[in-house]
Amino acid sequence: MQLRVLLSVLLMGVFLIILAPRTIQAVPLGQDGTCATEYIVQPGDHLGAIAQKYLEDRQAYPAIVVATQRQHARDTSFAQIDDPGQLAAGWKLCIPPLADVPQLMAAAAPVAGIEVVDALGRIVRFAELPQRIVLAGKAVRLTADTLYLFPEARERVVALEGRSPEMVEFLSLVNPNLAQVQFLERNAGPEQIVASRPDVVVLKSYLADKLGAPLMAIGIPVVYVDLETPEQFFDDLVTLGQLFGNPQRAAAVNTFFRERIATVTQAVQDLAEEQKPSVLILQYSVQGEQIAFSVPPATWIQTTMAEMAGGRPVWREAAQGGGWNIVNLEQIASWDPDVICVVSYFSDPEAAVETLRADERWQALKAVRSDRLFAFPTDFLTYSWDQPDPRWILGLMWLAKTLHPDRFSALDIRAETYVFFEQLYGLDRATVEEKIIPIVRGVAR
Amino acid sequence: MSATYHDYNHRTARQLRYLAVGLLGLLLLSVLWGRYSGASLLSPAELWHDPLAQRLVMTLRLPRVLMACLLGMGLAASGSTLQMIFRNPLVEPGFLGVSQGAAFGAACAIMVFGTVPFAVQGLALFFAGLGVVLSYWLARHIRFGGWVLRLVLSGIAISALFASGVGVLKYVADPLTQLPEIVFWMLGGLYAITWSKLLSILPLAVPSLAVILFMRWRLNLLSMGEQTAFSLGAAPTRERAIALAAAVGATAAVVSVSGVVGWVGLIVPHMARRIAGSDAQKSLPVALLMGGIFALGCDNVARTLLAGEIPLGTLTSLFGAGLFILLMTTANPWLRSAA
Amino acid sequence: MDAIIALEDVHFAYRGASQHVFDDLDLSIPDGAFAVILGPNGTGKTTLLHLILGYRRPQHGKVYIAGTLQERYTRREMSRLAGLVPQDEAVAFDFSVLDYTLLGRAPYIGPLDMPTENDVQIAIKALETVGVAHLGMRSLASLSGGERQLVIIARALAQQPRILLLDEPTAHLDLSNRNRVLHVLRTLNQHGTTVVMTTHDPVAAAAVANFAVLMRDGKVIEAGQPEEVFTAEKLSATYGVPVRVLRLEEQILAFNPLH
Repeated sequence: MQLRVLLSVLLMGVFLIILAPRTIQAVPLGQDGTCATEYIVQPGDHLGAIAQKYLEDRQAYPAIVVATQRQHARDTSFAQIDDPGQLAAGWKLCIPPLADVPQLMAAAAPVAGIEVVDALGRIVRFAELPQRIVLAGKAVRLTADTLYLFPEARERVVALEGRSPEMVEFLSLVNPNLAQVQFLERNAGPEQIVASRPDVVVLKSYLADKLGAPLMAIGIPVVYVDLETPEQFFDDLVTLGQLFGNPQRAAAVNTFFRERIATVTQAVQDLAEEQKPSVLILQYSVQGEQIAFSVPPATWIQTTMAEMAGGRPVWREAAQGGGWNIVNLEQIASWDPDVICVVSYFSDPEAAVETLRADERWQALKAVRSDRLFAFPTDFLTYSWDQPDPRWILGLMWLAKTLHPDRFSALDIRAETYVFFEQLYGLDRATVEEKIIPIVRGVAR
Repeated sequence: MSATYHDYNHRTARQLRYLAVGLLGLLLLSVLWGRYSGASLLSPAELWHDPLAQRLVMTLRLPRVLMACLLGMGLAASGSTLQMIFRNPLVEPGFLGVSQGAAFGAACAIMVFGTVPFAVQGLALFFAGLGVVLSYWLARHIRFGGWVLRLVLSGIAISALFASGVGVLKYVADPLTQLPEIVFWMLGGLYAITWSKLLSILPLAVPSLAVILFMRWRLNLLSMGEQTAFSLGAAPTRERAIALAAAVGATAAVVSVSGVVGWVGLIVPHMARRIAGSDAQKSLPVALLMGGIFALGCDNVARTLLAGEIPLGTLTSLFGAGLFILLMTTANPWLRSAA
Repeated sequence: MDAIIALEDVHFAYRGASQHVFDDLDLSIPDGAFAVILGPNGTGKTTLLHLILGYRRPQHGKVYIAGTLQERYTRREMSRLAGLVPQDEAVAFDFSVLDYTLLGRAPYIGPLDMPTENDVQIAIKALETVGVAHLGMRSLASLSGGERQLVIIARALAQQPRILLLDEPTAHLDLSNRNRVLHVLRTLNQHGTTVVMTTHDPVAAAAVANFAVLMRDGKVIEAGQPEEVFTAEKLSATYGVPVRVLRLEEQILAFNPLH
């Protein structure tokens, strides 16, 4: 009996000895801080991405740098980070608790020159603000629209890839010096991009392997953006703010967007599922003689917009493919949504809607009968308001008003259009009145 | 008769010299040719004075040009070898599930790993090897036919399985970011070649090519029937397996970084045999050099003709098929047939 | 004379076949002989050659080549000892006659080596021996049947073998070519090469052989001197049809009369 007691005491003692160091470690050590996690750097990791993952904000990377430096002072197994843009595999980093982040950010050493954190979490350093910015890759138009939210873009964006007439038309309103911008051939390779002597090239992140890697191999800095979802939009605007040296502008644009998003989401947040109308966003395209209808994937911005505007997107489960999925009339009929919004990128969506209204088979649909078949607004033909372009905020507001006219009776889309182009692109009212409003389709006069 | 045979040997040596000079000349030209400031030739003076151009040439053009050369050589050597050991002049390096397996691996990597370095290359290599292993395994379970027929059939079946896998992945891929990558990879392209990628395949490609070159006379023997090869002292199955492994190794190594490039391995061995004779001892080195020239020429067009990259496989098919037609319709200058 | 080839109690069946090709086969061929093996189609003459070569292994029994068990020889040693001349073979590529003959030097060239000048000379010499050296640079595919057969023999000669195994070498040849081939073989035999030739033509056999073997249903019916072996009864028993034998100008003629 006594042996048993003795053994239990010994066992407890052993446990305490094993557990003690851990409990001791977790106690905050005051000024030196503590690590919420210790992270070992893997090959290909970027500090901004690590900050995004653990601290939910890629701009918070200086906190990790400071925390790790402090740990390094006591324990050299932690890494010594001289350049946050250069991480080596195997380094041990100290990830501080979220609560410590503000204080650590404040303690961060000021940086000589410019540091930009991009969409892949890379930290790119410049000795001075880049003066020659080149935008390359496909679908440059949408990214260009975001860049031109910054007035500095007018002087500093020196080359764009591709030269669609609509883009030239719109950008010449925004940038009177557009003639000096070089238009690179579509699908330009690294050699041609380099010929325009850029200080930095802005690319979408999926082009990292194809265009980014060769450009960096030659020594041209690259900054990546995503600009596909609202969250990415806010983060990438901050990145662009760093790139243009105008973080205030980035903050102002973000506020503009957030206010309007809040207006929309607050008005619909108390809606129960059944109260939300089922909505279908449908792309109408004509291929030869055939008319094709397709729906966007569940991950794209159209789906997010429909939900934010207080609708139920009917295509969510169906859209399995990576791009626009073709659907036939039978499927549309089986969904029979309350509201149908027709997107058209290459023709007038209002004309498309007229065609559909006249079609007998479409007249059987609930949405057509109750006159809730709408054209998704566009300006400048291919600039539809459903795309990941700054105009998506207009699209969101329009969609919300279309789905819930009663809740958004105070929302004047036309007025918002004026405000959008005036505040975000610096156009004066007269220009908007003459050049843009007349070509807007889908918004009630 | 002895005199004629030695003339014949000298002729081959001459052909090799011309081809080698041609290849070196083309290499030099290719380094200066590109799209830096439009489709043009960089003058050496420009190159001397412009540090940006220098970096461009050293980091982008030079590895690419060397890789194109290696690609052509590897595929030509592999095609020659496979045609001999399968006793069939219509065999292509990738047919035993190597090409389609690599395509499947690359598609998986593009979908799942995106921008992780070496993911595409690694998975492509792995699945290329897996394709051959599966073809071999399946061939052993086929109940009829000689070993050649069995291997060809199982190669077709395994290739088809991988191809359908790629089809499914293409459907699910994002059309802006992933699908063009997958499609481009399947058509072949050298736009992403860096020094590290080039160096990474050398440990596999160089020994494979060396084995093929050393075995080239033996390939003549292996192209005979089992009985004959045996009676002449060969271990036909084992030696063919070694040659096959070397050919697959060379193919998989280059395909893993360049994507699926077709026709080079099919047409170049033919052309080489046409000008140098069927004896692999002579025709294989000729095929090697011709393959390098052909692939390099096609890649130059691929990267300079238009602003965007033209897939390399498209050009090799175009020029390869054209040459093939030309070849088949002209009289053979070397062989004189009996009246 | 010692037997250069000896088979004792050999049983052989192809894998998966129910019937044995050979049951208790005994055969002994003297060194330096010109042996012909006669029998109807399907008795296993080709299989016999394969067993001698070591290409097939018997399930039971022993095969001795030059006094040593077949299994003890490496393939290389065997290929320097015996050369096989098939009736014809499909050649997938357009080799020249000389390149094809040069293949016969394979037993002396390592798997990673190239033929030397010496090898080329031996190949040329082999072609000269069979009388087709002037065809050296021609394409193999452009030759007539007889010339082709001679080239295949030349290839086997390039192996510098002690034994030459031929599988029905004259079966598809016309009269003049047949005689040409048989002449060459006889000359070779006179210079010391043991020749083992299968055939189903008794006349050709009788003309050149100094050792004859009759086979039927996988069994040796008779083996020995041609004069003793080529009798009407024995030939009839071999072929299963009435055979008549005539002697004409020192040649033995055997034929199956057609009614």
